[in-house]
Amino acid sequence: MAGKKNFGFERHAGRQIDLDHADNSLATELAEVVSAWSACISCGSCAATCPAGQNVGFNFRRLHYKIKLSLEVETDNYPSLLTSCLLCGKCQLVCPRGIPTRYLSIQIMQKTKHYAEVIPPV
Amino acid sequence: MLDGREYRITVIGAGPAGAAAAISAAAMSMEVDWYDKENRPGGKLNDYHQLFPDRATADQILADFDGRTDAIEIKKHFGTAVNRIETDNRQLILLSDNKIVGSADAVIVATGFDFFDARLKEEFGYGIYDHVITSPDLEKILKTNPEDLRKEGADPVSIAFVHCVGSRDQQAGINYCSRLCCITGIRQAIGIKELFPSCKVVNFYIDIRAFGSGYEELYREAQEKYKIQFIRGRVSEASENQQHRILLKAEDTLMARPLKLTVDWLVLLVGMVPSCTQVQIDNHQCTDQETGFYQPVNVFTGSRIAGLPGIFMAGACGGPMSIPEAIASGRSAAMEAWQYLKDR
Repeated sequence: MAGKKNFGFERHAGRQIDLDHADNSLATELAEVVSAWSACISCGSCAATCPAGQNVGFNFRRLHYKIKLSLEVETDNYPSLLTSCLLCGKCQLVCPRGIPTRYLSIQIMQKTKHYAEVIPPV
Repeated sequence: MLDGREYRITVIGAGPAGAAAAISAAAMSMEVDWYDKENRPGGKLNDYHQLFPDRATADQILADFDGRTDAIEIKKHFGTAVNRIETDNRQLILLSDNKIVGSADAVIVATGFDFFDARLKEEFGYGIYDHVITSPDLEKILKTNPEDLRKEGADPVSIAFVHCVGSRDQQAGINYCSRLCCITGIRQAIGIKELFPSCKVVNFYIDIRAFGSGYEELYREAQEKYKIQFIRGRVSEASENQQHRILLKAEDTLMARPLKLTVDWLVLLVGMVPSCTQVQIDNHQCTDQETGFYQPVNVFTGSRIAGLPGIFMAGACGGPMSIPEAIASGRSAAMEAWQYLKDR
């Protein structure tokens, strides 16, 4: 960058969610195995009760909502986020829609490649 | 046994509330004159396809009303719009375009509502783009010819619904919630999915207000069984692309990120506003200054229109109301009218 001044600007991907070109294969697959997941109303009970979420930037509601919108599938971000999940199942106890969130968490781990080898099938 | 034999009552409006009021008044042996501006009874029910929450057809309800109103003594004056009532001592004089058409001891006003004129929300492009329609438009399409939703023979790829159009919107001068658009949008979205299972259906909502019996269950069914996507955020603008598809911009407020989506049809779930054919009663201001709907003497206990003895209101002329609520309110107005006439 010789000869160019650094004005402090940087390039980054747009923030707009593009629902027209979303790859929703993961969301479709998950909805097939955990059908109640579709009934989520984003109340945030799961995230509020999550012991991991109290200390690290892990938000289960946000994580699976992102999958629903097919966000960041390409960056394979989900497994690294899910390392914080303790699989304690507290989220499942508070879900008003009765979504098996612990099972959903395991399914997400299994269906995203890094964890396929680590987590045994249930 | 309620005997109203010597009472003459007029019901204005032949929608569900007016029909229920007329049937109930006649069942109490009152002499009933029943008016509607249209030539047939049923009001907006005539244009509806299915009803929530059980998705009974509107035709079933209409047939039920027809059967009951035919089986009982009711004088029908359809095609006559009563638009003025003058009080003359204890007599109520009914006028249509300044011509006296009748008189009564008591009147039940059941003039219903109009749908919000979606052209006023110009950002959604209703009346500008062919593929932007309102919920009553879609209802007519579903009832008469759902094939019209195909484009050159192909199933629609995606359809979006926008909740709260002309409802909870100070820009439109409407601060109240119309309450029934949410469940209408849910039911219509299911209808679309049944016709076109592979179509992506997205509802843009602010809050889901599924307050009635069975409504929440239908909402859940829409999510879980029909995979209808609910996005929390209001569409801010719609525009048409060269393929005549509608490009939407909204914010997904749960992600705090802007979002775009292109759809084949955009359906605006329009709110309920006061009817343009309200009845003027003497020179009274009997509607709410802010909402324009009729005001009862007491919102808890009385359906008499505020300040006017002998004139009662029923159904959605008093504010947004579902069909079962309108029917119940028609019945209770008839009962109150009877009590008023007995006690006066």
